[in-house]
Parts: sequence; structure tokens; C-alpha cells
Amino acid sequence: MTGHTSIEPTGAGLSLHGVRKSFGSYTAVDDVTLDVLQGELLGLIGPNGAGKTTLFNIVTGFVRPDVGRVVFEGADVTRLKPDQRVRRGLVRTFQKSMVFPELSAEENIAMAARARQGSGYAWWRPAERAAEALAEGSRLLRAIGLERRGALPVGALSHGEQRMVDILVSLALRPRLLLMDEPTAGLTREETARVMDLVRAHDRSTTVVLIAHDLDVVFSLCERIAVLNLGALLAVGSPEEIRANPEVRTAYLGSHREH
Amino acid sequence: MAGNRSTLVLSVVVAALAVLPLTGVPDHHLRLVAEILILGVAVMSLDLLIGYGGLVSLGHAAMFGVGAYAAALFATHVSPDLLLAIPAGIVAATLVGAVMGALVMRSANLFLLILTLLLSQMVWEVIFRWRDVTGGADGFRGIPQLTLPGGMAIDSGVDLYYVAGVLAVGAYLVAASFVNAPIGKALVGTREQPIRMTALGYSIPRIRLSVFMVSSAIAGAAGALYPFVNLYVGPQVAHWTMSATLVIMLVLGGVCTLFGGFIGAAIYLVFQTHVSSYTDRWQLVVGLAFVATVLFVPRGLGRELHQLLRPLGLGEPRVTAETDKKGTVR
Repeated sequence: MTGHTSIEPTGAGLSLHGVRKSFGSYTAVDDVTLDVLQGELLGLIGPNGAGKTTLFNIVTGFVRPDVGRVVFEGADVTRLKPDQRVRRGLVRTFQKSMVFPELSAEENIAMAARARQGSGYAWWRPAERAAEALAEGSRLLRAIGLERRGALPVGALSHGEQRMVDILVSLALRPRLLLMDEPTAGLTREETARVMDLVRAHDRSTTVVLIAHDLDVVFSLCERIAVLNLGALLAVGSPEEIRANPEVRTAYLGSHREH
Repeated sequence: MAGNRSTLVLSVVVAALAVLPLTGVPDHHLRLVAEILILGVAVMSLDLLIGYGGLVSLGHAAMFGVGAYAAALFATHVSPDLLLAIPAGIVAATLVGAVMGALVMRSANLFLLILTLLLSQMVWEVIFRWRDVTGGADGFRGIPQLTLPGGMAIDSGVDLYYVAGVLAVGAYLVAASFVNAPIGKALVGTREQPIRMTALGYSIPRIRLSVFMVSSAIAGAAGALYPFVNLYVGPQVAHWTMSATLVIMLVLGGVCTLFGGFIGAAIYLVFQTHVSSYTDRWQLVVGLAFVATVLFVPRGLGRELHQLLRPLGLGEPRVTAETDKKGTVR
């Protein structure tokens, strides 16, 4: 960590300042300023093309913003590469599962655990670090009830199981901030509940930002909700405030859906 | 456990190689086997890049060639001691590999192929033009025989064969330990899911640079012994056509197996030696064998062999090694 130049008032885990990103003439993210509080579960919703994933890409460093700053735990990370941000605890999951299909579930998680331990590049490794990484895999698999599938190549698991392994991989990085892009797509209600329980139980101080199309999930789980529309931030507030917000209702929730 | 089995297979191969000279094989045949072992090591090192890293390099001969010239020059001007000349080749090749790796570590696919080709041709140019030191196009002659630390010369085919055998086993152990270590798994990860690896906090350029250096060191070790087969080394060892030959050997023998490198080198060199005594068009035969391999055994002969041995419990674990191990343990 660089010296704690506390730019932000305490409490903000992640702050976006006037972030903008255009692809050609299309503005994907338009002047977004947002504080995510340390330890909160924030839902990020918006219609397709609202810029949710682009915003994730900006926060995690996969896309550089044209203007604006990304501040994580008091340090400006706008210029850091994705892997450097991950090492600070800024972790994401992807819309599509990104597992290593040929490797076992345990090995998938161990790959993350080794990265976190700092033994990911080791050649002459102390055996106990390797065992520790694999143990982390078994522990997480047990926590979600997949322990009997741990030795199988992930490619052989069901879609839902692969998604769960994907999330366990991210948890093995012990994130300070976890950005989850549609983690519950393709999961059953019951699996969704298991996953979200595990994410919250894993470490209460971890900040979570959740993108989900399933509004029931967002409104029932999230402490606050941010609404994006056409790249701009429309509203931020508690689920009740968002439900009551007339702008949100017209732009997004529409009349077909009552909450 | 799979680990014990591969140790067993390795032991059997080593034992067979060790007793081969006792079976009355003529000396010049042993020299050919030595050459197969040396080139097999170079191909195996290329397998780290192509097979495990998905980094198709067309510049691997540069490291082999630099290792060869460095060892030949060292033996001629400083000391023919095996334990000094071979490391000299390794160090020189690793340095060149580090530079090449640093220049290509941010690229992949076709771009990487062209960059490695260009950079290796620059190395070849230096060897080709620097007549005073390398002998230029005529090659470098007058290389002394390698000696063991006691001063005993390595002069017969048998001696050379044993040295090449030790080199091959040593290089195999180094390469196998690399692919089984976290760094080797991370390398396969960058081949399979580069974006995921970045999102796990791995630096892809760092991983690529590591494999370039290890691969170059092994190629350099092979190159370092090569001049002592015929006590001559020419600039063609660093030419891009040599790189292409190594790739052909790798495809013939089987990508991502490590030991396939030796099979590919054996096929190629046996063709070269025996078919060329019947026809000058021996490369046509190699070409046909290559086409046949790609059409009928696209995974290479090494993989097929591996597949055949698996039911007997002799299959060598590769990328999914962990799965195998766990599968049998549980």
C-alpha cells in the first residue's frame, strides 16, 4: 500500500470522481461520481447498455476512464494495472464464468490462493504453502457444499456449480472489495441464497458491489442501490428510496413491475 | 500415485539408455543418439513455450545457437572443461532469452511469432557477420574436445552419448519440475484464461518472461553440447530455419508432453540420416511425415503413446496432473 494519503472521509471504501468513458461517439459511462461505503452491499442496476459492466471494468482497471479518478481505500488507483489492483484487494467476477475447465475445482481455487499468498510464481516451493493453497480450496468448497465435486475438472461440473466455483475463486483472493457481475445468473434461488450467504459470511468487512438482473435479489439483499441509465447515475439510496423514486420508475422499473 | 509411476517410467528409460552402449551398438550410432538427445532437449525447451505457454516462437534457434557458439568459444579460448563450457553456453543463452523475453512478453499469437523470428534473425546476423570471432559463414572450426574435470577427454561416441544422456535427464527433471510448480500452472493458466489470470492478480508479462528464461537456459544447455558432436558449429544453428525444424520436431513428437521432444527429434534425425542415403529429397519425406502427423495424429506421437500407456497405468501426467492425483487418492 502506498502511504495513506486520506483524500476521502473515512467510510468510503471506493470512490468514483467524475468518471467518464466513451467508445467513439458512444458514451458508455457519463460523469459518474459515487461513494461505496466500507463493508456495505451495494446493488448496481440499470437497463441493458446502462454502463454497469463498463463501470466495473473502469474500477478494476481493465478499461481506463477518459476523465475522472478511481480512489480505493484512500489511494488513487486510476493508473494502476488490473493485477496491481487485485493485489490491493480489489477483486471482480465476470458475467461469464471464467474458470480453468481442465483443472479441478480445488486447483482453480488454489491458483487464486497462491496468487494471494505470493507463491503464485514459485518454482522451488515450500510444500506447506502448496498444501495451504489446496486446503483453502477444500475449505471453501465445503462451505458451499461442493466438497465432493472438488477433484473433478471444473469443465465437468454443471453450469451453476461452475458459477459457484468461479465465485469461490474470487473469495480465495480475500477481497477487500468484491465486484460481482451477474453472479446469480443461471443459479437457482436456493443456490443464489447459498452463494450470497457465503460471500457475506466470508468476511463482513468486505465491500460488495453486485450487478444483477434479478431485481428480487438486489432489493432483498442490498443495503443500498445505485441506478445507472444511459451511462449516467440516476439515483443512489436505500431500496425503499429507489422503489419510490419516480425517475427510476420511468427509466427502468417501468410500469410492468411493482415492488 | 501418478508421480511414482512417472518416476518408474523415467527410471526404466534411463536404465535402458545406460545399458545401450553395452549391446554392441556401433560408435557412430551412439553419436546419432547423442545428437537426438541434444536436439530433443532443445525441442523440449520449446515445448515449454509452445505447449504449456501457448507462445508459438519461431526464434528458438537463437538461444540454441548462442549456447553453441558461447560454449565453443569458451572451450577454445578459456577452458574445454565440461563443467565450465556448458554453463558458459547456458548463461549466454539465458541472457539472450531474457532480452528476447522482455521484448515479446507483452505480445501473443502472430505478433509474437513475427517478433521472435525477427529478433532471432538479428542474432543470426551477428553470428554470420562477426567473422573474426565466429568464423562467419564458414562456421567455427578447431574446437577442442570437452574434458571432464579430471582432464579426461570426451572423445568417443560413447562418452559423448553419456554426457548427452545426463544432460537430457537433467533437463527433463528441470522442465518437469517447472511445469508442476505453481509457476508452471500459472503459465498454463495464462494460455487458457489470460483475462482470468490478470483478474487473479497474476502479471502475465512476468510469467512469460520467466518461461522464456527457463526455456532459453535449457535450449542453451543443449546448444552448448552440440558443437562437440562434430567439433564444428556453423551459423545455420541459429537460423530461423533451425527454429522451424525444432517446431516440426515438436509437432511430430507431441506438444505439451515434454518427452515428445525426444520422439520428434528421433524421427527427424533418423529420417535425415537414413533416407538421405537413398535420396536427396529426404526433406520431402519429412514433410510428408509432418502432414501425416497433422492429419492422423494431430496431437503428436508422444500424446498417442501417452494415451496407449495410460490403461497400463504408465501414462505420464500432464496439465491435469492434479486432477489425476486427487482422483486416485480419493
